[in-house]
Amino acid sequence: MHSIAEASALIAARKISPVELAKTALARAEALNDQIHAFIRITPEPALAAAQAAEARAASGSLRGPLDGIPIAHKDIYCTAGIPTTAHSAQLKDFVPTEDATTVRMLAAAGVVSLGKLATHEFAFGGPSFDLPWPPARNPWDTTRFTAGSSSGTGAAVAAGIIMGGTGSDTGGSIRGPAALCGIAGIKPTYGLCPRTGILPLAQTLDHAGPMAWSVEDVALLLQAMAGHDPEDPGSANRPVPDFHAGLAQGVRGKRIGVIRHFHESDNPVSPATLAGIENTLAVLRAQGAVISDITLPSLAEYNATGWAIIYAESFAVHEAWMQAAPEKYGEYMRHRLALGSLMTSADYIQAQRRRRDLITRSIAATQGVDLLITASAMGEAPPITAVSKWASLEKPGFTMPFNVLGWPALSLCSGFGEAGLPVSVQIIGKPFDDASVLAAGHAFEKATAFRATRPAI
Amino acid sequence: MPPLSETEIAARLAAAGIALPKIEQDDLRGAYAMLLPALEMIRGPGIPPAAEPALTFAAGEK
Repeated sequence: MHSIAEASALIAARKISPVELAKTALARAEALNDQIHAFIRITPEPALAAAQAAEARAASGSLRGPLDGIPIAHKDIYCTAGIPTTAHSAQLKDFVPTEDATTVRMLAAAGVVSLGKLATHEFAFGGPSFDLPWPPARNPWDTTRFTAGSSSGTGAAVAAGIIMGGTGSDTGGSIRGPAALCGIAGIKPTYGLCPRTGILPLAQTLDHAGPMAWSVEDVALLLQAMAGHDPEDPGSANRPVPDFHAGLAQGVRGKRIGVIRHFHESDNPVSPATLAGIENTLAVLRAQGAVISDITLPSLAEYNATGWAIIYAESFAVHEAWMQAAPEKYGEYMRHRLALGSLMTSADYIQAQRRRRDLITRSIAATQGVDLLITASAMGEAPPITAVSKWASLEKPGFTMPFNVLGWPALSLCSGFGEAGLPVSVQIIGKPFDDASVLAAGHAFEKATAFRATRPAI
Repeated sequence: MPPLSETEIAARLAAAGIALPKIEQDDLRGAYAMLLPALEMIRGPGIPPAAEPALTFAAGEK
């Protein structure tokens, strides 16, 4: 399986054909979907039409850029004109949007070939669930294991080598969680960098759109196409978008990296392999000129309390009418999580937003002396999919939520493998709108290590 | 903040217009008890005045 960067160069040199790439990917999607359930819907006809158009551009020397002819797929909360968008839910089983999400349109304009729609936790919130119209995605490294969620299908399809990249969304960790457990890379960009118009919301003040791919370099290429101002999204930032791929070359020399050691050593201790991966990441980046120090932020529990209070309240507001009219159309996990939000008071929500602002103020002060932050993105290797509790988010504080609360860019990437042979991960975080430095640090680590050479044997 | 009783859970769901079976309401009661520490944590310590602009309103001027 080529990376996007490799395939792009080969397409431009006319050594591989976008149509052949699409046919191979479609065949692999069909062959593996019974095992990993990554796709809700495979769409061969529009995929081949897009691939033929890319091939014609390659032949005429008018390729649109590095994504032209590249096979990807979209999380099924991204609206796609004329193609059902279900959110993996019976509530929207027959919903066919008339317009593309802004980011779907932006990626199409860059020439990608979409193979279809990918599994998600129900409405990016309820999962893993076995009582929905489609089964939950399975982890290609071991199909008895959890992919994490909610961008579960994207994580599985990228790791399985079906697609070269895909879209995800991240409200409390839904890009970085599946990236971590599936052994790929995924970035939750700065809040406001990628438009959310046309993406079904979970909690609007925490929702982020972003890309997932096998390598950080590929994530940078996809992010380039997804970033930009959209006046239809009130959270969208109107500022120039840097060249993320060119920015990878900046490396980490002179970058000051703060290790949020208390997050992963005491607030929620990680597995030995995850800790070893974090320490190895620090050693690799230090060897390339980064300056490493420990820093202290507010507790992981405080960020999670704030973030989950907001998610429960905002998600119930989004789904209120359906919860009143047809709660039985949701799976149990989704229905109960929404119902929990209905028990909260208006004061609970306002206090959470007040606390969020306070956390932002304290976090900015605590990170004045550093450029980047590092901690875990998951506790360890993927657990069995049947062992995931409905209320897991309330049992232990997650490592990803702090950066949804803050809105800062955060990248999860593979940092090695654990005792069971499954991937472990590390999280690199940056200051607002410095997504380029985050990607550069991740890329520097990947280029200096060999972890991208190992694919799941599926 | 005390946990919600069975009656309070039923009353809040009814106020929200949601009908759930009793067994699901019992499950929710346990989940709400798990959420309570978070709801207490976001209320303390006191939030400094500098944090209050989070709740301001913008009229849309450029």
